[in-house]
Amino acid sequence: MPPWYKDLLSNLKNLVNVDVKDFLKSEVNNYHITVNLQAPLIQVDPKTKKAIINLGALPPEFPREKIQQLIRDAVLKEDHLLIEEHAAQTIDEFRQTETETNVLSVLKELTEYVTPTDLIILRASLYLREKFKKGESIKTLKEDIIYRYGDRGRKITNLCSAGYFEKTIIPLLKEMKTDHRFSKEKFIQTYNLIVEESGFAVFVSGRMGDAKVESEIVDKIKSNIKYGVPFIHIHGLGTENIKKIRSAIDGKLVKMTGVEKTSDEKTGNAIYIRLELDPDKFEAA
Amino acid sequence: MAKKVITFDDSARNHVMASFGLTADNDGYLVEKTNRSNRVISINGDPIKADRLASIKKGSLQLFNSDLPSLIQLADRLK
Repeated sequence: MPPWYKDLLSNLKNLVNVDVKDFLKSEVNNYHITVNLQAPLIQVDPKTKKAIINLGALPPEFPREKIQQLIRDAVLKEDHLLIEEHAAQTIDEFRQTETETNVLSVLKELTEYVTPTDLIILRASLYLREKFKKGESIKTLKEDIIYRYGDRGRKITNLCSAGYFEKTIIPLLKEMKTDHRFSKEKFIQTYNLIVEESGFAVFVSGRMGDAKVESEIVDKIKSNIKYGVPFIHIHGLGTENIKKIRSAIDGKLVKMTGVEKTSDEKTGNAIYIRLELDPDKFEAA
Repeated sequence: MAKKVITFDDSARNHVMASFGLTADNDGYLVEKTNRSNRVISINGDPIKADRLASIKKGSLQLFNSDLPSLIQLADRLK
């Protein structure tokens, strides 16, 4: 029994005459602090061996400074981790994700090539993707990544959710490695180009209106042709985004000369379209 | 989650903050009770909103925000 918890029980007994006999006997491995006016002071779950300490049921004469000191001692003197319950759950889920084969395989290939910052973004993105696959909401988690890492965070997350690391970046790395001129720096340069330019792709997000989707795709087509990239990839996640993409392609793009759709894959709620671009024939509608 | 863990829920947040001499300023950011003009910072150097305080760890009092990248950093420190 950790000293802080022993002290808590001891103080409850001595200062406010709470009967703590049963709690002293209970086997407890973890602790939870809550404030609940309807629940008892301490509850021990015999299955989870968790002691739920309800500060809302502390007798009014129990000194609040005492409980604060015990929490402080638990962290600073006894090296307990004090963590909000949802954050603890996220960490457990995240750790579970990192045992999955498809996640491990991406990290194994790329860890030595990406910066520590990009590695955190990638790990976060892979976790996001696993949650999305399970149908869970990822909006706040994605915002977390973008808040902390800005545009680069957004780009890596988008590339990850579109499967680009497995479909393009890792195969590219493997291909480059077969060349005797391969160097780590060369791959990193190419990788950065893919990330920074998100070179071949348009990612359709929830906030983009129909006209914006169309203009993004047209602009990307023109830009790719200008820089000699003979194709464009279009990705969308979600039913509404798929509608917007189809509307843009069927509405305007089908009339453009030198633009040909060569792939159109819909998997669940995700769409991927590849357009081949012929700069010699290209003419905007 | 490792042993020697104490979780708390939102209802106990103020108690947790008070245990470390912390409170929220008018904009909701964590400040020291004895020095309200100075916002305390997370291990990433950012000020933390009280409702996004995820964790407190020993080590000159390490504070972690609840955003995903920060939780990944915390997970790595707990290995």
